[in-house]
Amino acid sequence: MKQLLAALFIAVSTISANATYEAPSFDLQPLKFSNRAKCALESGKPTKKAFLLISNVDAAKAVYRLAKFQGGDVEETTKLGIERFRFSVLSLMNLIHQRLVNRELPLLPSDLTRTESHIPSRYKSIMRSCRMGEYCAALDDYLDDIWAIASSKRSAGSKYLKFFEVDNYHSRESYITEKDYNKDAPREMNCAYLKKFSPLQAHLFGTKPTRGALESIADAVADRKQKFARCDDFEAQENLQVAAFELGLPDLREKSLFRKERWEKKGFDYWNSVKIYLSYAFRKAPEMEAMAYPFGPLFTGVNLEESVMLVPNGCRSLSPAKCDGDRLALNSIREFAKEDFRENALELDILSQTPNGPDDDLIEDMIPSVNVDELDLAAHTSASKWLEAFSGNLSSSRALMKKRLIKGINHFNFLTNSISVEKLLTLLDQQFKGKLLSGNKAELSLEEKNELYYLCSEFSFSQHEKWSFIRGNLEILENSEIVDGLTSQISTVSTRDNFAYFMKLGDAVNKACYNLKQHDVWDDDFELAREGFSPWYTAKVYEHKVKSNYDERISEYVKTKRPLIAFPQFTETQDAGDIICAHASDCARKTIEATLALYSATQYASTFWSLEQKIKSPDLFNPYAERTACKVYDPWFKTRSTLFSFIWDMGQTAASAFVPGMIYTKADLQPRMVTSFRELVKDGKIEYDTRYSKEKILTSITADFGPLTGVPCAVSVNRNPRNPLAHLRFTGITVGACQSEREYNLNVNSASDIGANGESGHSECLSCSLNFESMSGVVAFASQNVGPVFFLVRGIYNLYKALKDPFNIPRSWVVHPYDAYETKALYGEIPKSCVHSLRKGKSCLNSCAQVVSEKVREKTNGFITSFNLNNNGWGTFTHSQCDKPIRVRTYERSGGDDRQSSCRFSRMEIPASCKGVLK
Amino acid sequence: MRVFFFLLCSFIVLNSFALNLSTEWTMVSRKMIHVSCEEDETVCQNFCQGHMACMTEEKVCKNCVGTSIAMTYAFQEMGRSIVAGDQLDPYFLFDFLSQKNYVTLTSRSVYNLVDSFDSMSLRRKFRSLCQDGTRYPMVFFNKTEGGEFGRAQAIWCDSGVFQVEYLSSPQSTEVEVF
Repeated sequence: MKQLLAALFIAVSTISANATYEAPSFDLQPLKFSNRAKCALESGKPTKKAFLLISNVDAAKAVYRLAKFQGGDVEETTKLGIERFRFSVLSLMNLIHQRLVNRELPLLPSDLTRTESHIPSRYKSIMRSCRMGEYCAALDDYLDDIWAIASSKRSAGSKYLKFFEVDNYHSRESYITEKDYNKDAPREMNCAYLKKFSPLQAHLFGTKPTRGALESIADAVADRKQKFARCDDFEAQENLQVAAFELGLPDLREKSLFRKERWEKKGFDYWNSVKIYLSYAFRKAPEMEAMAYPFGPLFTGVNLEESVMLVPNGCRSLSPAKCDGDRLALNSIREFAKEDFRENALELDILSQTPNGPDDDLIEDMIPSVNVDELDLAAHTSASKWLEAFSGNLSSSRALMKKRLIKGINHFNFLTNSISVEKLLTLLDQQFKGKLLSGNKAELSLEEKNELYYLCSEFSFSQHEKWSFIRGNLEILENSEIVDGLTSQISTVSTRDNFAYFMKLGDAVNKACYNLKQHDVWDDDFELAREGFSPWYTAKVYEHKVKSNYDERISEYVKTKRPLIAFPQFTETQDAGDIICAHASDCARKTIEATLALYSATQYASTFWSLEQKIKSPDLFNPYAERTACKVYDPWFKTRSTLFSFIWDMGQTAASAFVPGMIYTKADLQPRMVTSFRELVKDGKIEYDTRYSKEKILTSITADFGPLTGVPCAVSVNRNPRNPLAHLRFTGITVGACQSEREYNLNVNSASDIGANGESGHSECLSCSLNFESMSGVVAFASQNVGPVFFLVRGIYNLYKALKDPFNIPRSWVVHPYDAYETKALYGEIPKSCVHSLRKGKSCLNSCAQVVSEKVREKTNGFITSFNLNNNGWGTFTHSQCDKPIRVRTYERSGGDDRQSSCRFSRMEIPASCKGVLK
Repeated sequence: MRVFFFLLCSFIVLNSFALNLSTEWTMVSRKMIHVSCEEDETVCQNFCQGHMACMTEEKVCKNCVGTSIAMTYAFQEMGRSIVAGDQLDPYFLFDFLSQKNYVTLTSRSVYNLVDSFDSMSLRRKFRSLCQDGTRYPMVFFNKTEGGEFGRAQAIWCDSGVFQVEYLSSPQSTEVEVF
């Protein structure tokens, strides 16, 4: 066996040596620090630094099974498989980068709506026809054509001409051209394996760099081998599940690869291209066979989009800012990276069975902190431990979501195919001794009374026309095809039909429940056993304070009675897991649960599954990316306006009438000064967004306010002049008004259900939980229609809260790690006087050290680690890549009247053994 | 003519089913289906171009090395929601193999990232598909348009090839309603 493995290793190295694929090399990048407002602004620009996060768990598991199947050395083969998987991802990225910067691949535009630059027409038409969540064959065909040319043995120029046969690319805008980088600038992609998060990622840990931070950065440069390793140094990659890599496009001083304005124009296209080409090439490129040898064919089956993620390293983004449900859902992935994820999992919207939606975070946490280690990087001993936790949380949550979805689909598959709504209602009536539909006066047992109470309450909560505040949300199932795309292979019924079944059943159950003579069923002695509610209900209404014993009750039931629908295995196993539903009420109640599973999968599909044929790139470190895109936060606002007068004026006008969607009057705000508000500012007044008519806004409000429309409750509006924003919030609907319905209709507040959860407002009257925030939450989902207006309101609220926050004026700082290091090497510390220039991205060396440093970076790969210069004549310095001192000759000249001295570099003598440091 | 050929094949095969299928993975990670025929197995031998045994490559399907909903469902529901139905003409299987648009699963599948490799519980699930005690029943799935794992189509057992049924309605299955 060992011989076989040895042969395999030889084969791998031979193939790797023959093919010239290699992982990218690495150099330290400048650190850009931003405060909140600057970070928000930066989110609209393309980054040059990113993290590549690889989770190879699936690939490793498959290789492990392959080794078991083949009877090989499982451990060795698995380890080799992991290395080959990582190597092939890195090499492919490098190959794509090289081809993009050498015009051997065209750029694929990230924004199809832009008008200021060219979009190849075939590409545009294909992307417009591709539907999210569905396989797009036309895109694969298009990429087949491009990749075949890129991989051919033609010259770069010939490929460039050949691409015009595929699509009408623009000679300049569809490529990264010679003019996009300086003549001698390096074009390689930087890459380092990240061992530990350190001050070399200080921009993720703090805003304005202090002297202490600069000292730490300098120390981290000295200790950089403990923080980084080469990307292809697999010995250093001890964690076998995950690996984090830091990528950078060259941007060192004058050796800037991309001129700023060009990069800002082409940067998003560059990353969009990398993500699409990588997703495609990993499965279809012939180069993969050699890169992944001997696992190439197996790896083509890996779900790369769920194994690899590109994340911006800092405030800038990898894709253009966009305010839509999918982008918000994708960014919800941030939750999984937090250290306290497991403790807070129950509270997280993303794991709730009745989620508010991905915009929930915007509402719950309007002005989050940024760049202060929100993702708890420092809490982990190594970068891979952090990534392992992140990746583990994501994958276990995905598994939970998948389990719920499969259960829900199974439920609908069986129920809709075997029992019609009418039949189920008849069975329900029979179960409750004719009380529900037939008006029989038979006495129900306590167990039956409870069961009927649960049935009515849960349907009332989830679906009642007036009371339910999730009914409006659930209606997205009527039109969304996301779940159908995900489950087409296992579902026999469409989501639309499942939803129709649920609605029909709910309408009938609610009607029957409302027609009940409640006092006849639940007299004053009746005491509700709350534990019998479904888990989703106790979680939502009782906020997890009551533990549901739903499953235990079903298990007890089937011990003595035959279940209504079960798998054939049940007779043998007697396992509750083999039951679809035990009795009619169970079938009906589980239909709500199944609908909620479809709903939460629809809401968070982008978080858990890959809906597009490209690598995911959430804005992990910048929560302001979506807040800025959704106009929740305006980074310029504080800078250019007088917030107080704005709020005051707005409050005065709004007090006259409450019309949601109305944006208010003249403020002490200069027109066109608040950039992202400009569409809303007109003639010195803030008005409606002119793209939306008042009628349209009101129609949308009515739709989104569904639960509130017609509710016989008074809306009390607080008009406290000290808090002019308060009038924008519903402070609640009085409980008394709701209780007036109690005698006639069943509400969840009736009888003994009023209790410990009184303070939450959920149970007394469902509508009472509606407030401005939750309204906005509902509306946010429909943001394409009415978004800007409401986000503006929320933005104002955010800013109000942020009044005392000193971080709303955009500011940024740049520190070059080598500058910090050389400064410390020269002076033994970071002098106080150097802090200012270092954080402006400038070095702080004396004149001779400065010229030597510049020359060294220009001529060699590396930097100076110590100085022993003689200002007039020969001196020495040590170099990061050379173990012997390097001699250098400089001449210093005293300055004139301004007393400034200058220094001239004369010669440098590099020992023969260190000639390799030269570029 | 085709119908005649089909009927002839059916007659021959149904009267003497003796076909063995097994999975192999090569050292360069290619998945192969090993087909071995009995002497009187003409359809099988035709497939193997006159030989008694042959190998055919099963391309690794897109996202099959993962825990997609469809893949999870397949391993979770094998023998429960996914069950054997009527016996099929083995010709169907060769047709399937020829079209190269299939994915096979057994309890020893490398694609099984859901459960332990060849675990007892998984073996039991797969074995419940065949009434003849086949050690490693092989379930054939089709591929979607995008080359992903699709729906189960057929089950190969020692005693024959069977159609796959997805349980969803008590009318057509043993699911109980009262």
